[in-house]
Amino acid sequence: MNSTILIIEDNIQNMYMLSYLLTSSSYNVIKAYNGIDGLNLANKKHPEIILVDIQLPDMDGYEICSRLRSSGLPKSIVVIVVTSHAMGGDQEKAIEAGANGYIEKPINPDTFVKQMESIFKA
Amino acid sequence: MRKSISFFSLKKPLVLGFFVFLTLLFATQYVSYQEYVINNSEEKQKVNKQVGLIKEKLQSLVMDSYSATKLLEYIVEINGVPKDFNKIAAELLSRSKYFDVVELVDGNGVITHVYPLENNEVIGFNILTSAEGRSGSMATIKRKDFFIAGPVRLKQGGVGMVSRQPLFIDDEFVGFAAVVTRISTFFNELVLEDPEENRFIYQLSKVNTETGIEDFFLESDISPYKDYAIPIEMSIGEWKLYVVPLQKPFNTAIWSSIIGVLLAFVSSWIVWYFAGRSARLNNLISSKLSEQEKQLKLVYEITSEKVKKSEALFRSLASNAQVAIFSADKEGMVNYVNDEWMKYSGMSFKEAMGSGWINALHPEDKDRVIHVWQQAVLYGSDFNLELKFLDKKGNTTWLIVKGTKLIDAQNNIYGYIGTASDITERIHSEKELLSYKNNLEKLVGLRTEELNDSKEALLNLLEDINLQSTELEKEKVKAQSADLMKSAFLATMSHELRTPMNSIIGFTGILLKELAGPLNSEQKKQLSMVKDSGSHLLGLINDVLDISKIEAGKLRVSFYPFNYLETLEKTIDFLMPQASKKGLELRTEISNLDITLVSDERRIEQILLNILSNAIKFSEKGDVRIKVNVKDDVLITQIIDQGIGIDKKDIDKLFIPFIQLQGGLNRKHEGTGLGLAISKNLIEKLGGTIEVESELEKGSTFIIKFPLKYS
Repeated sequence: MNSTILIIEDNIQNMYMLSYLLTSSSYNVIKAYNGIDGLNLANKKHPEIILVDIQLPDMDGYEICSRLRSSGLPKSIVVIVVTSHAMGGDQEKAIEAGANGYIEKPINPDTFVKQMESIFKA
Repeated sequence: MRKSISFFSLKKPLVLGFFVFLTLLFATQYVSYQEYVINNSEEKQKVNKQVGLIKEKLQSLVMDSYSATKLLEYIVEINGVPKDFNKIAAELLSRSKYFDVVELVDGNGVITHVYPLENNEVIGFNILTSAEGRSGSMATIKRKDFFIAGPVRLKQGGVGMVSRQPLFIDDEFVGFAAVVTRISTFFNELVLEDPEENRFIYQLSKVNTETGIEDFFLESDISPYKDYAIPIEMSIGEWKLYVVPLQKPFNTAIWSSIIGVLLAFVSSWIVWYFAGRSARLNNLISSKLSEQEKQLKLVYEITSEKVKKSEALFRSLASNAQVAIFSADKEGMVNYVNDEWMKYSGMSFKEAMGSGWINALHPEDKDRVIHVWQQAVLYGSDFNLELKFLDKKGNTTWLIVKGTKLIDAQNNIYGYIGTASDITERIHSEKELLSYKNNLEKLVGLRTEELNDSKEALLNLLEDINLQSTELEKEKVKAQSADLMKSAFLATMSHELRTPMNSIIGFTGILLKELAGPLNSEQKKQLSMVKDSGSHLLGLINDVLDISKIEAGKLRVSFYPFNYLETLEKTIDFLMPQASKKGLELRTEISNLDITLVSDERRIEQILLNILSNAIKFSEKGDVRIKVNVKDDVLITQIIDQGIGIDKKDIDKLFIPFIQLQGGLNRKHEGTGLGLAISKNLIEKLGGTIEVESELEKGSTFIIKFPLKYS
């Protein structure tokens, strides 16, 4: 149960919310507030799961997904995109860029961890 | 190089045959020669064996003669001439079958005793005086030893060997003791002993050591067989024995030799025949081929003759025709024009060849004609067109041209043949007609002008009105741009609004989960209210974002195939708690087991959620039915409720943004009033339609139709 999760998210409140939920469920959480830091941490720490926000200051979530997939990291790393409703076609684009799945914003605190685990196990 | 030439020449059947002949001939003849040598040596062995036998017999004869005469000598030396000579002689004769006569000779050389007497009347004959016996006898006396004289012509006839033992008493010669052997007796015996097939000719001779003259014992003529002589060393001089096979045996090696020659000949012939066969077959084939070639040439000559004739026929027909005729390859290079063509164009035959004909075209027509031609070649079609020729003198000829494609056996176009007819006259008459028509029109024009004057007054009035409407148009454009700005503003604002909403909803949710510590019931109730309000506000923001995107034309949809029934089921499951809270039943009537829709799944879900939640929202009793069926590749979904219904006059307003029917309903029914407008826009964006049938207080039916595959 002590899998490591990397969260790439620029919004401090969202980052806090996600890490709070995950640490409450006994996960190890590492944090990156932009795309470059996220990629560096992914290469250094080899997390089992990476949660990526779609809108980041330096690059978008799709670019992070495709860079992660071409960086030589193990393919077993699960990449999950956290995206908002109403942005039509975002989810399909994320899957094409190499993401394993997506979770919609606003996240539901009751189901968020379960949603993430079901993508991780698939 | 040399080697390869000789190897190559071996491939010629005759050379190969000869080579085989020589090789086999040499081999067989060599074997035959060896056989011949072996056969010959066998023959020699046989002769040698016979010679050995004779030698042995002769030697034993000499021994017998010696012992017999010695015995007689002994008797005479002891007792003198015996009284019973005949008895003793008979005894001696019985010692050897080759003894013929026993004799006693006195000291003077006169024969005194002979046994047997019959046929031997030699008593009283002096051997010392006779020419034949003298030398041998004297030599015997001198040597005082046994001596075999011979061959001796016997007084009694025949040739014989006389063995003499000189007799001495007190060293004084007193006579001879002699034994005579007829040679014929000896050899006759041999002949009788030989088996029939093994007969020999014999000859025995004694060589005079001083003169070298040979005295022959037998009468056999052996002059051709001098080489067969076998010397026999005797104590009494050199003798020669001839043993000549009576019949020279046939040497079977000759057969081998002949068979060898035949074999060599036959084998080399077979080799020559088979080696030469393929060459002969080749010759046969090439002769047949050349024959066929000749026939083909003949056929070709006949055919080309016919072609020439038909070509000549074509030329004469074409050159005399009253229409222009031309032919060209598919690149448009002309290779024939007739006289009429030259007349129309004013060009010579030579000038028209290749691409020269293009210069005959009127400059106005050039591009068009080339284009038509190229299109015809490209699509492999015939063509018809009208064009003008402009000759050097400036005369224009109008032509109607018809081009027909030429097709080879492989169905490929290899050129065009065409005709062109002069239609200048027709064009001229058409022009005349046109000028008549123009005159008429002018007349009509004059009349019309009069009418126009009155019309102008009316037009001025209209212009004034137009000016006013332009002003109105400008106002409208202004309003529209303001609308667009509003949409852009809303899009940005909605996004900015949404982010804090996520925090509000998320953290109230976390607090309600009591992860940070337990809450009392009042705190829980109030936090739930915060959360509900947050969710409602977020819904509003999302709807505003959608409608502003739709109005700004920025809404994107993406098409993927998905399972429609699964999506519908998800939506129903989501709304089930809401429905059961109001005591409503959700019923489905689905005619297909499996429906794959190519569309934007998330948008479809949004539409279904909208319509269904409306149906639940505006119903207080009964049920909500969802009917799904597919007809002609169109997916039809009907959502039927038994709710408040819609007034007929209000149905048109239903899909207009920000309008919720009957202001009074606002309190009772929460919502932005954007749901149906968004849904209708989305449905149309996805290629579908939405219709409503409704009756106030009875209920409403929303019918949504989507093509299964929309592109």
